[in-house]
Amino acid sequence: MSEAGNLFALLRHSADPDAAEAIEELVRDAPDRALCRVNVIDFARQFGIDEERAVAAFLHAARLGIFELSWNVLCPGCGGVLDTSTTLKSVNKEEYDCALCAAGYRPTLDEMVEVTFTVSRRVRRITAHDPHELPFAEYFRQIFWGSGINVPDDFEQLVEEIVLDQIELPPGEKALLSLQLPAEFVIVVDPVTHGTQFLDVKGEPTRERQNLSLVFDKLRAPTGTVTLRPGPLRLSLENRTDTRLLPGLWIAGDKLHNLLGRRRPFLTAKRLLTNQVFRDIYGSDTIDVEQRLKITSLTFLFTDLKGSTELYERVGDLVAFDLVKAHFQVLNEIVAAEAGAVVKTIGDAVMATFPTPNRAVAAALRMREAMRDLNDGHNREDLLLKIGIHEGPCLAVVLNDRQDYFGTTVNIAARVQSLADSRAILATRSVVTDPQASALLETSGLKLVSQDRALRGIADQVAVYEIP
Amino acid sequence: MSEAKNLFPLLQQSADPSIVCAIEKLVRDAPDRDLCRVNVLDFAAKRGLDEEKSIAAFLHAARLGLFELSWNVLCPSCAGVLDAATTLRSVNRAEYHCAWCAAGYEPVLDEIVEVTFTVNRRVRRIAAHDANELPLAEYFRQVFWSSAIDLPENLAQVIEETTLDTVELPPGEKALLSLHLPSQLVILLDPVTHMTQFLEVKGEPTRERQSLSLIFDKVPPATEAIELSPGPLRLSLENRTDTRVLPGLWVATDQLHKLLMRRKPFLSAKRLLTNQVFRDLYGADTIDLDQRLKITSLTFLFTDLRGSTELYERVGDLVAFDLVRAHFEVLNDIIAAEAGAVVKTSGDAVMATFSTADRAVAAALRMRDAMRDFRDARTGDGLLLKIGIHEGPCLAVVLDKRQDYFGRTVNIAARVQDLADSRSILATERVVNHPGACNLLETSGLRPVPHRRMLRGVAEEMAVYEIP
Repeated sequence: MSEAGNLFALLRHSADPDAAEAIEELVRDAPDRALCRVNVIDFARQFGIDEERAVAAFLHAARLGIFELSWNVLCPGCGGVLDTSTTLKSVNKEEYDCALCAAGYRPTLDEMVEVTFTVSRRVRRITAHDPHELPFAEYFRQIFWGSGINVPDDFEQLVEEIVLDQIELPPGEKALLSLQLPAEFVIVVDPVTHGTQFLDVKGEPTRERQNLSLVFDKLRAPTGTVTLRPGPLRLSLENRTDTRLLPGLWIAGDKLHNLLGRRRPFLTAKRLLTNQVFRDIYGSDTIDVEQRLKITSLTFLFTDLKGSTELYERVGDLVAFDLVKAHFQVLNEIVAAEAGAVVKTIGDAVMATFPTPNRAVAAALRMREAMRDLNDGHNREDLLLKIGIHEGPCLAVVLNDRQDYFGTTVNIAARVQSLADSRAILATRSVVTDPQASALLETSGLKLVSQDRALRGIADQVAVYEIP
Repeated sequence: MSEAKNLFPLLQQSADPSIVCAIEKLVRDAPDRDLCRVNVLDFAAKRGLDEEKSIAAFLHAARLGLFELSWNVLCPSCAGVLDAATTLRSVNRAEYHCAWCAAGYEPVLDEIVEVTFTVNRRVRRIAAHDANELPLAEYFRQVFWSSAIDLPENLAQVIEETTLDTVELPPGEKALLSLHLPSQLVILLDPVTHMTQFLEVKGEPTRERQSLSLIFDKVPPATEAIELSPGPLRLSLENRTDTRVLPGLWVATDQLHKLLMRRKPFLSAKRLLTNQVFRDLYGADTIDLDQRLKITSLTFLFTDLRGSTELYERVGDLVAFDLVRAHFEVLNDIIAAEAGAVVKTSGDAVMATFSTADRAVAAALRMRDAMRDFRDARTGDGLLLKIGIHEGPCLAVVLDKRQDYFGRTVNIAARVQDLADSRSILATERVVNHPGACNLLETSGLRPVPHRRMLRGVAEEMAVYEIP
């Protein structure tokens, strides 16, 4: 821990002290499994720390080498990890298949890619650093499932109830299991290769021994369904891979269903991309130039200074630049405080993203206030902001050495902003009907005025709401 | 040269081979003084090499550690180096004073800041690496004067003829000079400390010995001109600095004037900032957050895809993104080929800079042609480019982690682009009146048509020329 001691001192410099202390405590005292694939949202809840500060602290910890950041592609059906990588650049398949759920999913950054943090082996050695030595239940808990599954503490006992039989199968070895099949749907699954075989056990019970043989190899893990009858089964398993496997027979009943239904919020890739600290630390190095990653819902906020051209003419380039820079700084702070990130500035315009519409609306209201204060300080009305907000699907890309976003949603957001007059905040229907955003507007006592507007280049009229 | 042997093959991979050969030959065979503060434009001219490719090759060479890049603030009057730094960040004074010319200059990046390349001492040891051991004439040539002055081969002789006397004064030492003052303006100058003392020698000649005593200190004091009579002078000099000084008495004759008038083109800081290879290699690392560096004349070109919003709606985000990205690639290539640089993209718009208006016009014409091909190759999906060009003064700054430009000129350029219709190239009067641009348009048989247009936020009407 001596090296770690220095690292934690550094961490306290760059991150929130409470969050840094909580992380230090976690690394020092927590059981091994709590240090593998840490779910930061859950960590924040447990330690009573602000989520944004916790995310920022873990990002700094990862930068310092205390933790390793991992991007895991999840199966939305079972919450299992389909692929894991130290960089989002490896999330490059069109579709990911979950053998357990027998379904394929196109990766979207909202709910299908999680970001977790595992303690670095130089800071603290945990069993999961050698996952092939983890016991059966712990392999499922720490490696197979994503951090969105809230695996119960008594999981081992639950395994006893749900799993008919399981075996640890070293590389190259064979095993024979003799068991009694109940009249249920049974899944033979190996969490290492994700090889899965469905056994549909139905019909008249039999006393005759049924035989089934499964081979696990690197390329073709078994898949498919066979129909069997309740009664004795001799299951022959062969491991042709070069790693240890953990095949088991799971009863696909209510208990398994309940287990998979135990979900908790987790840190999504989308949320990380739209986090200012993440952008500052990792920048454009997140996505490959060739990648185009789908996000189902992202909120875009555009601002522009009204009358800035006149302002430059009146006060000159140097003074105008200082004013514009001061206004950028204020906006940056507000965006970061509302869990958003500034994607770029264009002239005196700002493009920012937020994980949800309510944070964008909150940021817009604060920006308007802040500009008022800034103008009062200068005793004139130099800085008036035009703000536009829209939410929808988009592509996360890299353009011109910068992690950027692309698509109709981005275009509409920019167009909505260009309709805005001074001081007005314009937002689209998807923004103002977001439950949390509409609650925020209601408590602020702001009554929306709606108008159908034609946006340049957009075929249909769009309902644009003015937040007075 | 042993280490260098490994570096040149690396350089071959990133730079033009014939230029790399020329650089390798230079490093191997040239006299020491040719490897100190290399003037890249002069290097290219002497060998008949392409300027842009030569700049790119030297930038890559600097990147590999073969050369060290230096930013030198010049006196526009005597072409002396007022300050030399390894980064533009050190060019942070509002004004630089030339003691010899008794004048102050604002460090504008066009004419006052040059960029030179000196061979790395690990690659080849040259005398200038220990500047304090250079003989007087070579000190003037390699350290005092910038690469903007074309010094004669027989500089030592010229200095002999233009000076009454010179002396090499080690740290802490004193010297006594006996000389005869002619009836002329005599300038006592030390090129190391830049300390200067004007001696106005006029009136009746005298036979009486006059005495003068001068002390060289680290901080040269600003002194008034001293009036003396023609005749004998005993000059006592004391060096209180910790380096060698090289004081000399220069006679302000026509010969000196002629020496200072011999100029040659040099690589200006502005030209480097608007070079694509420089942006790619050095990026935002060039300028400090608080710096605002003036450029007297820079040409801005803005483009925007017409009808791109409709395009996204029609073909979907993914296909649209690929098209837009392909069009960015075409534009990037043209901009780099015309010695310009892409500052940023926003949506499907591009902002680029060029050091002169003619290169921007040439790029615009090529872009329009390229888009024509683009459309034919991808039937139906017409991509039409709206282009606007303007030239004028601006501030070079860093905004949002990117080297950017700011000011009225940038605003007007963007507004001019806004006015453009499909296929038309709009340019302001300053652009079409640039002699090079004029020629180019004439030889292309294109007659710009002027229109008086109001630009949003700009008080007066402007003449905007449409290039058909």
